[in-house]
Amino acid sequence: MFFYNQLENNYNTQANLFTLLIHVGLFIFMIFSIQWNMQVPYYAEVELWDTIPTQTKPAPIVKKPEPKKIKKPAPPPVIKQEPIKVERDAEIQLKKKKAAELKKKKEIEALQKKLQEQEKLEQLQKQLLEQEKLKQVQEKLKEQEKLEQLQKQLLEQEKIAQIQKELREKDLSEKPRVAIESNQDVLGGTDSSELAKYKTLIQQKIHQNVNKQLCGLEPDTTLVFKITLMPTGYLLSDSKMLQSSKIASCDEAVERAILQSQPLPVPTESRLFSRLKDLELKFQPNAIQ
Amino acid sequence: MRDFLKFFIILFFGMQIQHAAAIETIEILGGKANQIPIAVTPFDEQTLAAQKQPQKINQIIENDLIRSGLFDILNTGGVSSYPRNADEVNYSNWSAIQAQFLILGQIVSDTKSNTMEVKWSLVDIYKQNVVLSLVLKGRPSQYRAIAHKISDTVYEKLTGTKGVFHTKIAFVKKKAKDSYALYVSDYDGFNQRAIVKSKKPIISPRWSPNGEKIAYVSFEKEKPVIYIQNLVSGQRILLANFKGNNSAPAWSPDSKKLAIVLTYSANSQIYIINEDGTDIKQLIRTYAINTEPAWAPNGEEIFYVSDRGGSGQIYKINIKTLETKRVTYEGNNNLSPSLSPDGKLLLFISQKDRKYRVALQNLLNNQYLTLTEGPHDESPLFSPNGHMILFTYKDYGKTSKIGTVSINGLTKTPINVGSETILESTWGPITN
Repeated sequence: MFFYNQLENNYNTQANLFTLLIHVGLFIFMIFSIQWNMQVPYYAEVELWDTIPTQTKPAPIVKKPEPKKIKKPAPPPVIKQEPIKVERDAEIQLKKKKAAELKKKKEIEALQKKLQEQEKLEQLQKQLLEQEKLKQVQEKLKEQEKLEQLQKQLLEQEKIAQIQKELREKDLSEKPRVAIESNQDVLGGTDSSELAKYKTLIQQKIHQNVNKQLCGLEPDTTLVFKITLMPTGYLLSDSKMLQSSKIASCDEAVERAILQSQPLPVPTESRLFSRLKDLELKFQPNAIQ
Repeated sequence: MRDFLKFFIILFFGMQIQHAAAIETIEILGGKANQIPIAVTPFDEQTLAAQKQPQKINQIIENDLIRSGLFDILNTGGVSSYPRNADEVNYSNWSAIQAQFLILGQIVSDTKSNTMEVKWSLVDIYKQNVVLSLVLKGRPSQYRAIAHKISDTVYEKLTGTKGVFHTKIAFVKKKAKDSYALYVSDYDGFNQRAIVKSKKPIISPRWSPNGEKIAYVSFEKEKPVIYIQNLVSGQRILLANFKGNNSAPAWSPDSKKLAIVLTYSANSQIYIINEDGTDIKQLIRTYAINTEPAWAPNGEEIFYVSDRGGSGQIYKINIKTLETKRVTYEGNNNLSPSLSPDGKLLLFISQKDRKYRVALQNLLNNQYLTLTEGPHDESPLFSPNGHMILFTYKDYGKTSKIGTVSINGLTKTPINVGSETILESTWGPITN
């Protein structure tokens, strides 16, 4: 018995160490290598209403069409009936002729009057039509101008997006591939361009709302904010300012620009969204674009 | 055993990297000259004073903020109910009209003590909280002054710069061929009163930076001489009556000296004189005409107009070293310089194609920008906070008038002080 124990003791320490190691290893394995709580469950945020809120739209300006001035047509000429006198036929016939001529004259005059009034009506209608046409043309011109401006802005933004894309692709192609890499990068090309597209969309939307008038004149004024997004495009919580411009009204204006840009355009595909849900936004409001 | 261990370690480190994603960065360069959308509801007023006022308190505040050019005042007509205090605000009503901020208030008057109390709040519609909530008390005669105070407070809170809605301006009115007067009024033209009346022209009024005096050029002695009027005592002193013409007074930033133009010994040249009329020194002496001096806010340089290059252009001279540099190069003539309170912007009249327009030059990068169309704009001056410009303008065939243009060029508003001819004007300092 004693001899057996001694033999055991020699191997004991080794065995104990080994068991300990295995236990520690398994313990670590259990805690770290099993995924738990790493991914944000894909959920939707819902607001519960018991009645539909009434939104009062500002009353649209409806222009009443100007009341058309319509003159009443002149009353038909009253045909006087002269008492039938006993006279000589010729005289009667002459008188009849004259009466007929008078009648004709009056009828012609009445017709002329009607024609004149009709002409006036038509002229008025024409004028109104022309005015409406003018207005329409002016409105169209305005819309066209707006469209052109929008197009210009979009073009400029596309240019910036192009340059940013090229820079990014250049950047990606220059970095050496690391041996231990995640699956996403191995899948490659389409993901990174989708990502760039959404980043450009977000940049464009926020840019529209940055009020640089409150940021002074120094060209290198810089701000950095960190935001966390929900799949709806809204911020999960208040944005966090990592670098201030040192101008209080500028900090506030940029924070307002971020809030005003909600909901931000985010991808619906959850894996891509998870890469965009935490963002760092770097602003240089006085940089020359 | 050891290999087994190594394998484990590499395995779980590898899994770590799969989940450590880098945070994406987005760069946003530049921005827009946006106006802050703000709504001002009619205040809940139950005072007799309000009924006699030509404008209600919310209208005065709206006009102030519109004139500054930094705000987009929203029409509150479509909103169903007006809140009287911050607790009554229905945020969805206001976000529906795209408002970012809301000003609301309540006025209660006490007829016994003849005072009125104005409780007002500035509310942030996005964050759904109250930014400011204050009480102002005063007499009914201070109705407009209280409205301007509210505008100033909101302006300072949202833009970080002091508001000028409480300040005064002075201007020269020509009532008839032999009737001129120098008036002082609120910056928006209300409450005007004459402080100098003359049968001969008055030109070039200039308010001292400390607000106590106004210098002006008068022709009452049959030639231009410079007077300084003390606004507190009502007295005036004759600053400059040298041989020849005395004109174009310009106060130094500390209100102790003035730069003036004399034709004493030759053509127009620039001199510096103490504000009590003593110790006159010639600053510039060249063969060309040198006129229209304007001090830089640091008190070290004077900008002026000279025709030494063949046309009127703006130069600057260092008072101590006398080093001179030309500043403007655009257009045919550049006249009437003045400096922004921070010294970074030069304001002047640029003449091109026979039109005189208000222009700005950024002295840091020499970028140049015109703010008005003309055809005949004159005498531009900055507001005391540098955000607005006061100038005189004349439309073809009409009398000359004064008005303001916001520094971003977005808002031009006339100042209505009557139908007579309004000549030059000057802006008094911030006093709160």
